[in-house]
Amino acid sequence: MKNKIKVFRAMHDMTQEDLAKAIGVTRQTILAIEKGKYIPSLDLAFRISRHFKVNIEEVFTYED
Amino acid sequence: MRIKQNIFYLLVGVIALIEVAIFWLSLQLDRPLFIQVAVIIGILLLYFTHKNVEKGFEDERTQFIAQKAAMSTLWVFWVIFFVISLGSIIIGLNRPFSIRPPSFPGSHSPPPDIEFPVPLVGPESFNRLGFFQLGMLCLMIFLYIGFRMYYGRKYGASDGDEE
Repeated sequence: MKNKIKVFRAMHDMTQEDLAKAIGVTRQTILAIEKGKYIPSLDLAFRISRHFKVNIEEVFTYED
Repeated sequence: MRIKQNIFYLLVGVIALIEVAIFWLSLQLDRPLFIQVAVIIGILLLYFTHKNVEKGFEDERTQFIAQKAAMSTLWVFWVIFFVISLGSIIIGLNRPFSIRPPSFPGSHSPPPDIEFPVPLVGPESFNRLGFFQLGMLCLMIFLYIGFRMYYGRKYGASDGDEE
């Protein structure tokens, strides 16, 4: 699972801490998702994409 | 009323000290029921107090790590406990059962009178069992902490990576 959270964060001028607070998780969780170490639940993935006001597919890409 | 995490840890310490005192009293009076009831009351007290503790921030990743660590601990502990139990059964079955061999009809020689040593289950056996079980519980705690650290590293990231 690839994601563009880092890109969207940069576009919205947000730090990991800002995004973590906005969606109610720890900064370590955002960092782990960005690095691909942790795959978020569907609920969290939707919360992240809704925060950036884009579709979930624009932030997360599924790869075999 | 919400209580802080540090106050809760202090309470755990106080209850542990009381438990040690009751353990000593139980030993002096030779009443194991005292310490058994005291431990159950202590755990119930901590359980109900823990509900009112202001918890640190938890999210789905930390819960996921705790869940994975608990499952791995259960599996490893199960295997270790099973292997040790099997070994104990083998040792137990290898001792004579104090049963006389049957005498068959038509056989002229009666079975010899053999005195089998009867295994005694004394207080020292219970003592050993108690220490063994406490050791197993400690092992379980160490396993859980180890797995928490392992999965924390696997599904986490180092702290200094803010970008």
